Amino acid sequence: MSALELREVVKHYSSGIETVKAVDGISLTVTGGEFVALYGPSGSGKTTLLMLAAGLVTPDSGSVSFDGRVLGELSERDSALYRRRDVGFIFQAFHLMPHTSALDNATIKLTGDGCTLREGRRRALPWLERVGLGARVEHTPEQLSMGERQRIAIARALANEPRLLLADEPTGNLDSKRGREILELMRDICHERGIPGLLVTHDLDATTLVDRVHTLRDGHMADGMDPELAATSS
Amino acid sequence: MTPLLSFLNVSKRYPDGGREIAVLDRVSLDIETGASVGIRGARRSGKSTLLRLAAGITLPDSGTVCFAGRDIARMAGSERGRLLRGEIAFMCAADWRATPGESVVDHVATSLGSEGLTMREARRRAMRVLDRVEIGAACAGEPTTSLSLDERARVMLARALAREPRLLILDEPVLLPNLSERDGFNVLLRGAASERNITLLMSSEEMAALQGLTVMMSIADGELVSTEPQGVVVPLPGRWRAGAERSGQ
Amino acid sequence: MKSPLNPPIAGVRLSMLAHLYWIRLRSHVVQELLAGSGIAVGVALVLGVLVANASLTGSAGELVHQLVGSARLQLAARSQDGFEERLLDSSRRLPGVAAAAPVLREDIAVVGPHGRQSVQLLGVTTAVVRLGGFATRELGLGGFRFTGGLILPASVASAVGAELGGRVTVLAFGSAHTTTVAAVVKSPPFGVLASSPVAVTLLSSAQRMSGLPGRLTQVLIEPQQGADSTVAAELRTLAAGRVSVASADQELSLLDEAVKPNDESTSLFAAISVMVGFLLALNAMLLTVPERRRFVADLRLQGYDWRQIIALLTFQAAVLGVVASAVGVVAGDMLSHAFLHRIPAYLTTAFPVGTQQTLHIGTILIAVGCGVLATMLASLSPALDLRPGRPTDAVLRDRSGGGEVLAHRTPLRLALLSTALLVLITAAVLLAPGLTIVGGMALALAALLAIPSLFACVARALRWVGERVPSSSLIVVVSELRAVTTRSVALAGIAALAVYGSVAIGGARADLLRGLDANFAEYLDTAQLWVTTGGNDLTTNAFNAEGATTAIARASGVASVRVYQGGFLDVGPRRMWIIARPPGDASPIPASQLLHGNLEHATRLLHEGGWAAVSQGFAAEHHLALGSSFTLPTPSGDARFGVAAITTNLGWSPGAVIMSSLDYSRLWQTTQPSALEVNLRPGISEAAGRRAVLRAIGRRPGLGIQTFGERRAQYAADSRQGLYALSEIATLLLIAAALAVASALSAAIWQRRARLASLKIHGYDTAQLWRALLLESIIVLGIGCAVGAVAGLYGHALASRWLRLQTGFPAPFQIELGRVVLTLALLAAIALAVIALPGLAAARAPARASLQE
Repeated sequence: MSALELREVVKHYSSGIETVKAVDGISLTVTGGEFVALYGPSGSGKTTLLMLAAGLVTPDSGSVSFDGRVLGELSERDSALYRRRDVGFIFQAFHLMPHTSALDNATIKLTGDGCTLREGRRRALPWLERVGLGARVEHTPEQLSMGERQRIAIARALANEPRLLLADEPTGNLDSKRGREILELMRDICHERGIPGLLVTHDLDATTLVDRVHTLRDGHMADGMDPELAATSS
Repeated sequence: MTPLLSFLNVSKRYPDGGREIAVLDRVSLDIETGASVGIRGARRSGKSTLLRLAAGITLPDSGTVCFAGRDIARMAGSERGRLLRGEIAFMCAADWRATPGESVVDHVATSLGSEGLTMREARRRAMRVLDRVEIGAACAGEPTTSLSLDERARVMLARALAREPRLLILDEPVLLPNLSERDGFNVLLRGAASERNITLLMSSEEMAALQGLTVMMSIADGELVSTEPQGVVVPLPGRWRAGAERSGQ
Repeated sequence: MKSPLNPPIAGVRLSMLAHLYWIRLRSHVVQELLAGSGIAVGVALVLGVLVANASLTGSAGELVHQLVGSARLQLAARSQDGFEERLLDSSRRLPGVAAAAPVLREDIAVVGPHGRQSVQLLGVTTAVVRLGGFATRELGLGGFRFTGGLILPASVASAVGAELGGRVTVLAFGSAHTTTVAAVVKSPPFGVLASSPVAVTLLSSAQRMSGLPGRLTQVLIEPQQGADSTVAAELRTLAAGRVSVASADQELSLLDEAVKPNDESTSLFAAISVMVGFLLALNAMLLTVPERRRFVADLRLQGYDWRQIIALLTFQAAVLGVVASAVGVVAGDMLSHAFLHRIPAYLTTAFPVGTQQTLHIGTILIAVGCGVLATMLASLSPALDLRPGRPTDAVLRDRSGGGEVLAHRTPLRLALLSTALLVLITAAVLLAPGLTIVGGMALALAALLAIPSLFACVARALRWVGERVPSSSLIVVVSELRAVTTRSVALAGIAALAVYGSVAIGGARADLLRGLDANFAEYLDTAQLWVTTGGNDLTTNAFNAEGATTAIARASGVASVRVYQGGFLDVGPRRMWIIARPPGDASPIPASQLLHGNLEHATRLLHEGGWAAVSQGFAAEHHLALGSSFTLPTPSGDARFGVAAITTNLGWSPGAVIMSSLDYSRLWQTTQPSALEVNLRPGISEAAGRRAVLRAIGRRPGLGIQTFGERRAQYAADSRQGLYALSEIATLLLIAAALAVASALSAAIWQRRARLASLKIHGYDTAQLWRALLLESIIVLGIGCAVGAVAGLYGHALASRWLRLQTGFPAPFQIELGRVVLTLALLAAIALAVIALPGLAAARAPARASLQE
């Protein structure tokens, strides 16, 4: 079973004069079938962590590995291949292509990997059905609600059957009810397919639906739980 | 006595894809002068819509929103504009917009241009109000892009206070991770409001941000419910009146 | 505190508006510069074309007024030989004449150390000073103190290398005279005179040099107040039908007639330039719209009401529009000086047209108006957010961005409208060729209207391809194309208009050149060697043969010498080209130029005498058909001719008349040739023949000998030079359009970085994204170019037809695909070269850009 593993990862950015310790010595393992949330306020290093997991940045020290492969050691081409084949990514802003049907939107990773559009559609369709959009595959994002748009994005992320699910604040543009539905969907998929899922969020509600929550603060994994978090989950 | 702000059966729907969702469903409430009202609600629960309706930024699909007894929807566009430049001030942390290169004092001063002030007069007034929100003269000359989250919130407050409004509407005014900074802002806000007798209407996702306000409400699924300060939710019977807390006076 | 300098506008102080703009300027200087330069380029284009259009007649008009002063009437000779001086005295004695001044005007060449220049010699006397024209007071010569020599304009002096007090040679009437330069006239205070192709001398010197003692070509007359019509009647009696009586500035209407086709064709170009300029400015402004909308929303939340927002937007547009337009005016003026100042050589043979450019305030106002209007229109689009019922802060909640998307059905409707317009244009132009210019402008509009539907079609086609061919970029491109935004249409529209203009005008120009080349080849084909005064002329300058004819005839190797005559004759508003062919000429009428009539029969009639071939424009004006008759005002009185044939205008827009030289010498009362046509015996080479002719005529610097090939090359060069400005504008238009498309496309790509970055997280690499962006750019450009090329070819056909039917120029229609492809390639190459870099930069956007925080 595949697993995402971060070991003593450090990533600093220098912005002009001062150095921002975006990630400062974080170790974390997400195993297959596990849906894990990283909770933290803005500026706590969540996004950097996600970029590390996607192989888009390399750590200053420590290592990020997936399935035993150290991401920092991949060539640029293999790194792109890793994102294309192994990673499914979900954004807060969806980043769907405008005026393009849900089905075509869901094929974007497949066509990027050399499929024809026809082949891509054949493979993406079951995923749109899985996320409950089977009846609206020809609708464009503009004709769909925010929740439905995020479902397209999930179908898009899953269409090439990734082995790792990463999500950046996926419920940020959704109301709480739809947000819950989306998170439950993601959790179920991780469980069904036995793949690791990592979610970053500053939404407290979101953290109640995951298997495990870690709190980030100033690049560190905070020991224990945030008082606010504790209050809500009790 | 006419309430300063009153909502009567106000509904607002938004298109969401091909359908419409009811953001607010027949909401009624009265807010009297001097009250300070907090509205807690989750993301996309309709609290921003409520506040934007209150400020006349957007108009209701049905029902009426009255400010000082006048129906906002029936005002001419320029009259509504006048409302926003005088009696009502609106601030939303998410709408922060720093024009690069603009100094803090100019940022506040330009917002006063609609009143027909010259730049010099506007700057003078901006300096006074920046001083009130504890932005010093040194910081006032800095570019807006160099502000911290806390300073941004205070500059936005300064812009709002500069027009000496009767009603100050704050939609999630602070996005601060730091609790002590947040408290600092709240102390500032409440101090300024009470010394100028400004009515407050403020929303947040988090209870903590609304602590100390006299009236608490909660919004979910387009409906307004009252919340006691302790966090107990009770359904709102009919029309809710939020009176000023007179005990302190 | 009230200040008149700082009034409140809709309740906002002027200084506050200025400050708000200052803030915008400081924070978005690049955006504002881009917008400003787009507007400036557009205005420069408009102004450049308008100036080029106006400067021909403008400078000549000023010169005429400088010359004639207060004179309102003139006696004008009907030939180069002029009329007798006694007419001056007689006219002075007429009651009601306040002043009369004699003038002798002859086409001569001035030769100096650095070269030779064809000019018009003006022989004048002190009498001209009384008319108050001619800038004589500034000359300080009060009474023409100089006793001889020439007054040369600075432009002529520098062209031939003459200096004050130096000696130059004057070639007139086939002979050479040496004289001194008495004065060099500089632009201030003499204005247009300083750059006109003229030379001024005393009447007596002019008469001596031209070999016309005691003769004048013009008497300028100032009648007493209110006596104009009686004086004119008296003058007509005096002239006895042998000299023309006309208004003093008749030259202007003659010139207007001569440049009319040129004017009309450049007005089409000006219209296209205006449209391109407008779109350029519009596009540049559209790029700034998202940012402006946010700014407006922010201010409205601070209590600015809609009137204040309109005031703010208008103020900003006005400042930007005026400043950018002012820059554009300066650039356009420089542009027209650098590229468009050349005066067609063919015109200078008949008119003293100078190179001085006249920048009229009206021209500037039109150009600036276009710039400001485009800026206003585009910058007011944020005002759409002010529509009642829209939330004040709509833009802050609106995530679509990137221009207004056209409604689903709009492209189809526009395509239908475009088709209807096309049908209408075709019908209108077929029925009334005079509507071609307007049709050409409407065609440009039809092309623009067709673009949105093409976007939809191409998107569909690409999707079809994508279904069958694996490609990572197609789906990305399709999605971008499917949302047909006003911006992408405007982008493709710029390319389309530029290509349309280049192809249509370029094609018509090529047709015209081909027609002129064929015409002049046949015109010159009658002789192997031509002996002329050697200027850049239409064989219209007569010279004193002085026995050269017989000498050449006796030269070895010469088979025959014939006397060719002809010149210009003012008939009504037309300065007609008179071609008088000797009986020995085998084909006096160029066969390819014959529109009506039988060539052999017409040739026979011409040689018989009393018949002439006339050009179509003249024939149409006088309702002439084959066999009907018309009169020409000749120096010996009105003469009747029968119409033997109707031809094109033979390359001279006012028109031409071909007659027998027997008729000409009788009616014009001269035997002097304008050219000697020499044919050689078989087996004699042209070089040998030329040497023999040269020996025969001896040293005659005023005469030149050219072979058929040389003279044809000279005519070809002159026709190309005359149409040079047209091709220059076309190229500039293309380059400007390419740069504009490139910068706007780059900016549009740049605004999509977040979405592009998200594709990176989906595993797209930089190369894939870059390919997609380039493909998209190619398609946008391609659609614009294709529409422009198709419309351009149709416009080319219409323009050629218009040239033939309306102006009478020879312009056989022929498509040159090579040139069309070259045009497209030029545009595409420039644009893609510019887009490639920002495209790459956007493709390399860090993936972080797609994430929050």
